[in-house]
Amino acid sequence: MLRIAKIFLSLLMLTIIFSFVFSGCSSNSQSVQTGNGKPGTDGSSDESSDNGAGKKFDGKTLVLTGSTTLLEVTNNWAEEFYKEFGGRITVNGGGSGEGIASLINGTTDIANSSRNIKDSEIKNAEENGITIREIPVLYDGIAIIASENINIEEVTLEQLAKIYTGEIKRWSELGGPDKEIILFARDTNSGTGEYFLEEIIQRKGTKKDSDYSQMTIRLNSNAEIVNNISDTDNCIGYVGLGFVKPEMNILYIKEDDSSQNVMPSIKSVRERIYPISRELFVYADENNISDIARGYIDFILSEKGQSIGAEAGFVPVK
Amino acid sequence: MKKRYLQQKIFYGLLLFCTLVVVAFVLGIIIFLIVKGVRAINLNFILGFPENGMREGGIFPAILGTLYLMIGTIIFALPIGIFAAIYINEYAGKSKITRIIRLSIINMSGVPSVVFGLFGLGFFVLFLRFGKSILAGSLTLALMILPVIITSTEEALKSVSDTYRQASLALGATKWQTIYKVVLPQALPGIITGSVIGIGRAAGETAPIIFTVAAFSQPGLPKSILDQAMALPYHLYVLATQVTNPPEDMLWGTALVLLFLVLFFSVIGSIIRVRQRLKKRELS
Amino acid sequence: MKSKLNNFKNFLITRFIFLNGIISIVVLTVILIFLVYNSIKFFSGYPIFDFLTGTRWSPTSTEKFGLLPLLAGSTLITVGAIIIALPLGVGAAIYIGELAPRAVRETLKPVIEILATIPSVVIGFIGIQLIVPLIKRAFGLPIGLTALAGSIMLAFMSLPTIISISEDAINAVPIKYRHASLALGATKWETTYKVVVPAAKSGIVASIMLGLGRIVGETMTVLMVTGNSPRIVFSWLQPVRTITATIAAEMGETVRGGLHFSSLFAIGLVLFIITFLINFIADRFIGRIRKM
Repeated sequence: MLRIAKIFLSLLMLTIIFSFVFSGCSSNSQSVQTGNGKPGTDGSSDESSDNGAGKKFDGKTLVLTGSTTLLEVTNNWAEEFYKEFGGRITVNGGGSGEGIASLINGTTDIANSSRNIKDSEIKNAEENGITIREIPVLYDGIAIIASENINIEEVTLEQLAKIYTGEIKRWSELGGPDKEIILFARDTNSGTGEYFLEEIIQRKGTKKDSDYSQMTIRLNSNAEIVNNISDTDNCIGYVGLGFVKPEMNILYIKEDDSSQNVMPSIKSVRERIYPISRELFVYADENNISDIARGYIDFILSEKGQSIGAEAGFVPVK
Repeated sequence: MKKRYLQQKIFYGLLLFCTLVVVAFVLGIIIFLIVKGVRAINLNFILGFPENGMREGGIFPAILGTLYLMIGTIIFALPIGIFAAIYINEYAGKSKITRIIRLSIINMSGVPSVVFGLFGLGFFVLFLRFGKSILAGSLTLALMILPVIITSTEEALKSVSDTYRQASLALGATKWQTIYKVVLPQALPGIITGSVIGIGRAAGETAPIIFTVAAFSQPGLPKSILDQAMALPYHLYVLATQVTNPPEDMLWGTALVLLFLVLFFSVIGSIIRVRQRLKKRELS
Repeated sequence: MKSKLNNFKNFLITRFIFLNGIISIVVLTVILIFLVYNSIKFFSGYPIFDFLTGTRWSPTSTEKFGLLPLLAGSTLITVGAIIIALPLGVGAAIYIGELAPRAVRETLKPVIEILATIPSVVIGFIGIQLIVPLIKRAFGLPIGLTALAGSIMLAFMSLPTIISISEDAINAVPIKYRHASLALGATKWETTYKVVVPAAKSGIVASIMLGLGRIVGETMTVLMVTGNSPRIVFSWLQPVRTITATIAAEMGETVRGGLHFSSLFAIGLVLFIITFLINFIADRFIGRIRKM
């Protein structure tokens, strides 16, 4: 029986030692940062500590919280930033509201947001002695895509709203085949889903009671919407511009019956002609911004940062 | 007469079928995970950092985070669990309070893990202001596995024969000395089994850690127990549902590593238990 | 003097151990207080009647917190899972407990224990990769993320509980019952289903209740495979959203202290009450086995 205890204890010790040794060695490679970029990926401390010179922001903490729309691209930014400048960076989701609330409470350095900060939030911030600085970082265009078999060219914003509230139920009402429309939308926790609800379904907030039809199928990501529409007939869905491929059945959007129809593209989004597009922001505390946070903001606005954003499917602001 | 035996045959066939479905499901999962996951496993996957939006590189920070959580969980859960079991088995007797304690242990093990997560967020993260941290996550997980540790320790204490206690008390030892020096060493294997199984369970849980510790991503590693950490189960969840088009290998590899880690502990637990049983059989 | 010190020491130790002993009561109480406290905050901002009878869960922009779609989702998935798990679980338990040769039995038991240890996020992952596409193809659906996918995965997750407790109950039936029945000329199967199973009934019911508790409270698997659309439907081939998945998906996305935040504690309280009742009933039945 004692032997069993010994086995167990040595196992526990092994686990502890393992984690500390490895975290130790990785932290070596982190604090004595490498010139060539990979943060201790090899798991060998010697190699990286030999590289000597530390990076600019080693040991400095940076917490990024907020919009799920920006989550993936923030992660990419953080990875690249870390490779170049070091630092202890944590990326959290939580949605735009949570991001801004965390900034006001002082638990995050930078808030990611897919909407403008509200007046009430600015007031709250001021009461906490925080001066909000708003930085637009990317544009996001939302494309409306339909299944292959749908032979419709364009929809107006009003039709789109009616499709999603369930007032328009069949494609034939829009001149398409006599089939029921299958609706795809993003999950309730998606920033894109929220934006679409407020901008399109609620007509920019003028019809506060409108909501997604009960029959809407909610999906977790842009990719899932694309995949499901590609192998099912009679569907409609929306995805970020970055997920659009030329071979998809993308619908032109018309502001109303009398206006020009517009295809989503980098150009039409940047010129703000395409109606379903928005700005994405990061927010920071103007008076109390750390060096690493400033460095990070400079980085995401740099050519490299913006091209990372473009790769993730957004439209650069610069 | 024949009809009755035919009936018996048919129903036996059905029962066997039920069993085979269950077994096939378990083996199917494991074989699938191994076959598909093993391609991803290499040194860089285990010891490397995520790259290119988690689509390449390794899962080291997630593995490390889970190990931290396992250690933290057991540090909190083990002592409390052991003392609780000692109270129930050695001190409480058959009073009304024992009945209430037992009932609440049963109910505690029935509380859904996501409710523990809610509680951890409300109590540890916000009320005690630990923030989203390894500390808050470990405490939440510790509460969740407490029933496992209490129950197994209690069983182990029960299996220690009363003659030992009487002999020790007769020699003039106090009650605590008897427990500490005589009963606990005897019960050790049972206690260890429970803790190992508990750790394994803690390692695989996702819902309690989402709001209490898990970071979406974290270039660099946690430095203190008040830092957030990545964790394997949450990482698998993120890869499977939040990241667009992750490579299949990354997904299956992560799932395999998680399964391996959890099974490793439960196998150790079972081995200890089986050996213990054999030993008892020899004795009796 | 020394004995006084010893007495004091003993007193402290006893107190300390007592405090640890009642930890489970303390934790349960504190959890309940937290849930109730936040729920009260929620109900002071949102009428409880609207919460209990509302048919829309649309928490962010329209601020509608109707419990019914979530409850419907949880119920649909649970019923489906039990329909699948009940015959499989009890069947396997009878096979393992009554028919299997000793060697087979000793190998089957660990296999089923392994099922219990597979993390729910891995089961959910397997569901996404294998079961969801299968359902989509088999039924020609626009999407495979359905209540059915959730029911199937949860059924398997509840099986270890159902099998092991049912089997214990079957084993607990005294051997003389079987001997008596066989001596009266019953076949082995007749003995099993007319004598052994009825005698083990309360244990089997308890196992199903405990399995039910596991199903209702399971989070990650349903979050991953059921499609998460909060709506009231009566078909297993539609996406639904459960109480647990709602908490897990939305808690990370709300502003702390807001109405949405506290609404999640309110549905957490509903969940807590449901599982508490289920476990309470199960405990009653387990008590009956002990008396046997």
